[in-house]
Amino acid sequence: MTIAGMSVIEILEGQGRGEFTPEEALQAHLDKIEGEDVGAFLRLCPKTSSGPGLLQGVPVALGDEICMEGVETTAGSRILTGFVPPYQAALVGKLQGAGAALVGKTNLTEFGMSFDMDDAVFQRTQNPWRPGTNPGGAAGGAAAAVAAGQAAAAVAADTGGDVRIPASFCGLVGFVPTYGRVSRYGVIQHAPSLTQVGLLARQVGDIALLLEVLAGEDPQDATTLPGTLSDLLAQAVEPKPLRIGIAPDIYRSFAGGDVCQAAANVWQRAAEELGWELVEVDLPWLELAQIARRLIAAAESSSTLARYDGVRYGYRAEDAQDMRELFSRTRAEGFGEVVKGEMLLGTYILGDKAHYEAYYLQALRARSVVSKSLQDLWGEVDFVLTPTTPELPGKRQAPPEIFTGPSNLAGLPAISLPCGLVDGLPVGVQLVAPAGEEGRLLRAAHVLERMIGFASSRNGGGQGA
Amino acid sequence: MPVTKEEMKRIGEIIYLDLTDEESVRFADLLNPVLEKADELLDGLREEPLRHISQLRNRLREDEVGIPLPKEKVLANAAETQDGCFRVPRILED
Repeated sequence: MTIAGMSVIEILEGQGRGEFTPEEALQAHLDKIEGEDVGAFLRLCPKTSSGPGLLQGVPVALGDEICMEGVETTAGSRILTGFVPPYQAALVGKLQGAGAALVGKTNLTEFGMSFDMDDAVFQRTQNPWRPGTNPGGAAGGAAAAVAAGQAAAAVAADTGGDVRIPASFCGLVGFVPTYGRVSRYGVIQHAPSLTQVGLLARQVGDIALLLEVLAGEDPQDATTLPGTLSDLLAQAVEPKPLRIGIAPDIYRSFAGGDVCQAAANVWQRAAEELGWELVEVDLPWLELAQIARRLIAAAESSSTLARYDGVRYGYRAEDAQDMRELFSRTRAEGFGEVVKGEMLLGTYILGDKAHYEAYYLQALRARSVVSKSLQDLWGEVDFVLTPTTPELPGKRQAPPEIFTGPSNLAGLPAISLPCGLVDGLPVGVQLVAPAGEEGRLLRAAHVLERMIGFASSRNGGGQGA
Repeated sequence: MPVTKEEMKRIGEIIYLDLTDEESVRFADLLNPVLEKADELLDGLREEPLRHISQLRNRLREDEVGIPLPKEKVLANAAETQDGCFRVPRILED
């Protein structure tokens, strides 16, 4: 096996056996970028490993919404063209402190506001499994980079499925921790109450290592959770068979037959081979959650994106005669259509008392409904298992975030695992866990991953092996 | 009640996003189905609004003098600067 295409753990083991050095590992991934252009990276900024640590010599890619001091950071938007952060995201320091090598900044849809990489502003990103096919978004560049063997892992923001959706489309593991587990300081976000720092890698063990490095309280992010995480995959004996919540009828009402079948195969095998107990649950609020998440994200965007005015950083319209013209032309020329639409929606629903009460306040009530319903479910089941996406790439019948958005609304950890191929393209299943249960979630996902055996069925088409 | 072209234009002005007539119509057409769906699904909910998922309290710290970002680093990102300040179009009459 070549170095580019190895998992995080394989790279660590290879270095441990003296088969290659951290510098050779980084170079192998840079060579892969040179050799196979999938449009994953907006810019390369290779930084070699700074020394020993849990991730020594592991090449990691960063979504371009993550600030690196001295490296242009655009969050996929023209309005941030030329912005060179004078400070570093907290998570970048943690990665480097653990010895990771950094590869570059990956493409995303503008401010991560669309799940469709065709909406990306700067360049098209290909799904390495099938060039010409959408890798999913918003973190499509990050997923394409890992799937193509151009980075061993990637870190990117997830506000409704932005990491898990492309993970599903690109045959990877995509993970979001409990809200606040990883510092968002220095991560450019459009909807801070929904954003969790997400991780992409080839296998669950890689995710566990990354999370151990990144988790922890940060005085610069008041929402971070206290405490650290360690030995996440250490075997703890479950006192009884895991209970898995499934809602087959509801899944079928949103998802394609092939995608539903792929998920059903997983839970049926889990029941037969692992002894997991299947519990049919009701998730009647999926559509409610989808619209509530959309409105809350739009409302927050109308505030978070107000700062982009051409004065202090980023794009600035030329030859404006007064401040009003400077602001309005800068924003009209700098923002893309998707972002403008979301800001208009957000401002509309916050714009007067009647709209606020009819839309924003009601969306917050819906958030309460979803959060409480999930809270109640944890009395009946250990995890909820869903398809990750309702459809294969390129199909647009159902909202792509229908299954992934609720965990952002409720701040819960969730993981997408590749579970098979449909028409030659990967599909994923998602496990959602109670808040704070990342360890149990990753251990269950690890067991499920071994049962599925997707990693061993990886082919050359996009896996870089 | 659907959003009108005029309403869309007014909303655009609030956020310094001047829209042409054609854009106002296009964005109104984009937003109206979302709002219709929201009307259908959200109406009648009575639960207490969940404003933020985090149950953590605000953290406080001592108000101590520290070293801010270096001024030159901050100004380096601006399109125009003058005398150590951001330069913008004139805001006062002669």
